[in-house]
Amino acid sequence: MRGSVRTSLLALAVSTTCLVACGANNADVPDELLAAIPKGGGSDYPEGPYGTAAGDVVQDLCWDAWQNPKADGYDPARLRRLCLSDIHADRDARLLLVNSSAIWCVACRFEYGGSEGEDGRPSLADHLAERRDQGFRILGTLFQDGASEPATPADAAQWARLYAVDFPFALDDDHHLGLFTSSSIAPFNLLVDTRTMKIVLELEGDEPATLFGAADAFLKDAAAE
Amino acid sequence: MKQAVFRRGIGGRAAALVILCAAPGARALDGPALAGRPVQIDVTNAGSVLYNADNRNSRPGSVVRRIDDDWGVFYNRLNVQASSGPFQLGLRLDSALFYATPDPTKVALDLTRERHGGALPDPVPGDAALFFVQKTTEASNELVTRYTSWTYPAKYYLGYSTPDVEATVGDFYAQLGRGLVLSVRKLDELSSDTTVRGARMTYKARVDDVRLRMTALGGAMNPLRFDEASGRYLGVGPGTTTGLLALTEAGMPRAQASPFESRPEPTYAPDRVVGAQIEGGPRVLQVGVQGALFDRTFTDSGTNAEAALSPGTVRSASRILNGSVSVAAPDLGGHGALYFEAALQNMTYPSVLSQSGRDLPDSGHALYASATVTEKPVTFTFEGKHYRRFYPLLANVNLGRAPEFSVVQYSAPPTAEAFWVDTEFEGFNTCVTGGRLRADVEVGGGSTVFAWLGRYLSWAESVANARCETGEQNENRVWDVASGAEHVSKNRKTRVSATIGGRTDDTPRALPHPEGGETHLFYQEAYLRYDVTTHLGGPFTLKLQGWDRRRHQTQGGIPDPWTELQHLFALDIARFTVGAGYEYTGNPQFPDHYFNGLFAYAINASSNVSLFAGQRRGGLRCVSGVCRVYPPFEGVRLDVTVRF
Repeated sequence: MRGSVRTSLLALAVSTTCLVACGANNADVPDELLAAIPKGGGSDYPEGPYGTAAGDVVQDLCWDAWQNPKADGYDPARLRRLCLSDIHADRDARLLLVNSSAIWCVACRFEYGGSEGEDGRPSLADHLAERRDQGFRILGTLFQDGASEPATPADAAQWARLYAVDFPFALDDDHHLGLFTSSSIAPFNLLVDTRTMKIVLELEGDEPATLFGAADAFLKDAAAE
Repeated sequence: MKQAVFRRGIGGRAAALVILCAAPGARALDGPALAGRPVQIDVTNAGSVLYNADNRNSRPGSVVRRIDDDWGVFYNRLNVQASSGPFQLGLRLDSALFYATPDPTKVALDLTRERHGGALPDPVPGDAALFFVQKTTEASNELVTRYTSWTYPAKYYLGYSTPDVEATVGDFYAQLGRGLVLSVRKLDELSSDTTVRGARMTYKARVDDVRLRMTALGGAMNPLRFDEASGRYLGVGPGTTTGLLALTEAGMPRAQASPFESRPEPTYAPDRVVGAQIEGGPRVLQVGVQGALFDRTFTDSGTNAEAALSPGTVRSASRILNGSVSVAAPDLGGHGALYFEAALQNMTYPSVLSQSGRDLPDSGHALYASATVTEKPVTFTFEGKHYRRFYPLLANVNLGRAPEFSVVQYSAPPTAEAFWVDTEFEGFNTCVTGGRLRADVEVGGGSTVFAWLGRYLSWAESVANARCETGEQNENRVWDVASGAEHVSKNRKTRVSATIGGRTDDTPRALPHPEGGETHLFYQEAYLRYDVTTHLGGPFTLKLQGWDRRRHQTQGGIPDPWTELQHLFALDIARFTVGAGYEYTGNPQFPDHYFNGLFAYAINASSNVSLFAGQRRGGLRCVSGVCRVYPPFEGVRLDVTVRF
């Protein structure tokens, strides 16, 4: 988590102080837990303060993921650590879409699957192919299964294989994207400027016209810079 | 209105208020005279004390499902109305005072321990510490929109009413047409109560058999700000209360920032509306023309561009114009009635979206018709709809922060379905053609048998289709059938109704089956509904109610069909009611069994007290196409309503 750790720790201290001052029934945080927070540094990832609203810099979240799911054969044993800082380091990237899906989510299936035909709905892969040369990237994540339990590597493999996902795809069993939205909501889409790592758009629900309208507007401005 | 935060002694205050509320002697009060006219004052107080225990929906790592346990609130609605001659003055003051709330640090600690089998490992790994930090952040962010005590003026108005003129300043309900243009009203079943806060004037004229009614209205939208099922509130922010909104939002709950946020994120921005309606004609044929223009309140959340709190096809439209023409023949010589409405909708987007959002809809239209034809003993009822890119006016709510308020909308296009139907998924009703024909046959003795057949084609249910492209690749085909019987006794003390029905929803294109392979089935259901009220003699009345369903949703992550049962039993004994309920769901997203009990006492015709204890199933609840997801409830609830 590198730079984000300092901010998070500071925020935690602030939170704890506030809760005590406010008189709430605050739980004692074991010292060994606070001491175990890794001390980062040395990355060129943008420094905090980090936030969760549009315009804020997103913290350097990490997942177990396939960088190239198809090439990895959707094999759970080949999940590897993938962080936002890795995508930030991709100099060809300009705009990142982080998609949060769950197996219980009907609309998520149609985001991934699309529908065929002249007037059919493009899938996420179709949208990526159309904009990849402009620096558009997608990171798919799966956070819950059909019973709203945390997704497992096998669930991620089943989902990615079902939709033949060929862009980076992560298991979000800890639901890191819960920082931005409720776990009762899916799909959730986050657009991030990969140069500044600032949040461009947060979008609850399946709203492709709004999502890719905003993405195209950003990419157009970015190309004009 | 300042935030009212009570952290100590709230339980005692709540109890005292409940006792006060329960004081006997309910009646309307005669106040002092005003300009020679007596003033009648009507005071109604509805107080509820709720305690939410562990509702058994927790999941590993889920803050939202853990933080909805172990909280309690005293929720009070004080209604005061005064009237004198043609004038009415009203105020509804809502107070939500929390006497128990979860602790975010404890929630995060518990989740962290559970992640490691119940105890922190020794030594603590770095990822466990990071998990704890994230969950603390999530819990703190979650709590700034929940469990915050508020007292605020939910509704207020000053009205003037004569046979010719009605005028209101303040809060009022409004419906233009059959809900296609504007519909703000109270939906008790969904805990929703939306008004326009502004001004409305209606003028009525009558010349012989010709009636004319003209209405003009304008103001800011005002939904209820507190959701008792979740403890969530809607808070406005500085960027959402400029101009007239500073006045209409005075005293309303404000957004707050958590310790992890640099600024408060508003969860609600009030949209503004102006509308008008002219309707009239002879008694046999009424013609109406109505229109409403909605102006969104956008905010700059840090991106140097103003936008909706939760962008989307409807919420991102900066202006929405709805207009319609309606024709009604309310009485076909005692043999039925006809109604027809044609509506247009135009959405305007900010330039940044309209230039790039090639898939955004421009204009939409809707045709709705209903007809009743009666030739005793048979009555036919038909409802039909044909909607293309016609959207409900969703409120400007931050869905990520306040998902419970996604139900708030300012129009309600008719569904042409039974009012309880909760299986129009996704954007079903925005791009649809279909209708339902119902036949009722009176068979004598107060009994009626009925049946209906519904057929709907939607192109926005199994695919996001903002532009409403109506090819087969986007199509869902629905058959909805039911039949049943009703009986009302001569003395009307016994009523029995039962409906058995089914629904099948499939697609011409193959859909991926959750367990591999393909399927054309999207959704299927069979159900039985019954409602019985029977007088047993003396002071005893028995009430039974139930809804049993067998459901199969192939795309919802549950591969197999599942069963849902809901049965309520109640016995009225003079002023007392005792009841019990049982619910079951085979949906693995929720616990299986739910039991509850109810005790109620009617103090008089308008005052009562009730105590509910036990469990209620969560899930989707819909009323005429307006739906919200309820969390499961487990706990105790005391309600006291007293009218003075």
